[in-house]
Amino acid sequence: MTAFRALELMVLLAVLAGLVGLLWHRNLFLKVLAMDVTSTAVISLFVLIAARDGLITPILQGDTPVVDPRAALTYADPIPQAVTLTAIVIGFSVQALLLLATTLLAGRDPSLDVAELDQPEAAGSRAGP
Amino acid sequence: MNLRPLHLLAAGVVALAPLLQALPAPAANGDLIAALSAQTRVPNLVSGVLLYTRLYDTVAEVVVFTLTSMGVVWMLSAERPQTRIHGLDDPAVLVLCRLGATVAALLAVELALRGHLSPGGGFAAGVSGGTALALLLIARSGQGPLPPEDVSHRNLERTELIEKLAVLLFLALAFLSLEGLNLPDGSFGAVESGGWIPLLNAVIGVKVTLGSWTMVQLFIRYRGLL
Repeated sequence: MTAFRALELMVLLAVLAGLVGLLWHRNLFLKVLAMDVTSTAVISLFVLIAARDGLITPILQGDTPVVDPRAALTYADPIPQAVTLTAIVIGFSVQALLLLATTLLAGRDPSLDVAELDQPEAAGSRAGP
Repeated sequence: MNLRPLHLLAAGVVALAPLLQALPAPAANGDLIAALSAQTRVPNLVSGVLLYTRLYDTVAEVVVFTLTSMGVVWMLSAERPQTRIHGLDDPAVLVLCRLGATVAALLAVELALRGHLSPGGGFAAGVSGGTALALLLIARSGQGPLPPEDVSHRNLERTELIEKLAVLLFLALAFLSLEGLNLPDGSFGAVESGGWIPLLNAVIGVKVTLGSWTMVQLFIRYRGLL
């Protein structure tokens, strides 16, 4: 088993831990945090894949845009890194909104139990169709 | 809890499936690096990819971030803010907060202006700037009550106005860049090089600083420090 496979296995185990947490916890807040674990693990998978071709940060040294073709072989792939930056920002936005929604829900039911939140409310308090 | 074995199995399959996939041979990305550096003309290729090659995606990313900060303001607008917030009054913590805020603010400027030359960029700069402002707010909370509701509301509106203007400026600059209009090249590795990339970085920095500042400020105002 190569080093890449071993690291990939660990990252995927972190993904699995997040998914199991998402299924396991009944508390909505903990579910949101488990989602964050999954998203962080997926981001590390991207970082791992970007580092597969080379380990040097893709920032050119010196003051010419010309790259020595032999040196270029050792640079990490910049494309997955840029994609990951987008994923981080979007993940942050989603987390902020989810946590806010959870906080607002906690005002109505502080236990934040998903099964209880799924129950229809007692008639009269908020009549739905 | 009724964690059904089937769910667990599905999670395991989804998470571990990539292990079964055969790996493609490691690609030699020498050509890619050379092409990108010739195309974007900045040393930090990640910034170059983000703000030149994939600029169209970054526009959508900025729009999503704007929508989030608008959504936070909108969702909290029906709530009642806390009347008083327990501030920190430990002198050591306050000094550390102010020190941290100073360092974070300087770091934000550095990351935004030199983001195309060294590690950094607009989003990192914005997070750093937002942290600086949040630390200032925490340090401020130890010194008596927060300003009254109408004053802070006016401040918030002004912050949001500047943030929206920054977003519009970013969209305008991105449009110019996508249309192929470019600034003079400048010398490779100088601060004023790389076309629109430094300007876009600075605008994103301002925008993310104000956006995260709005969110943190509202969270503290409505939910307290702890």
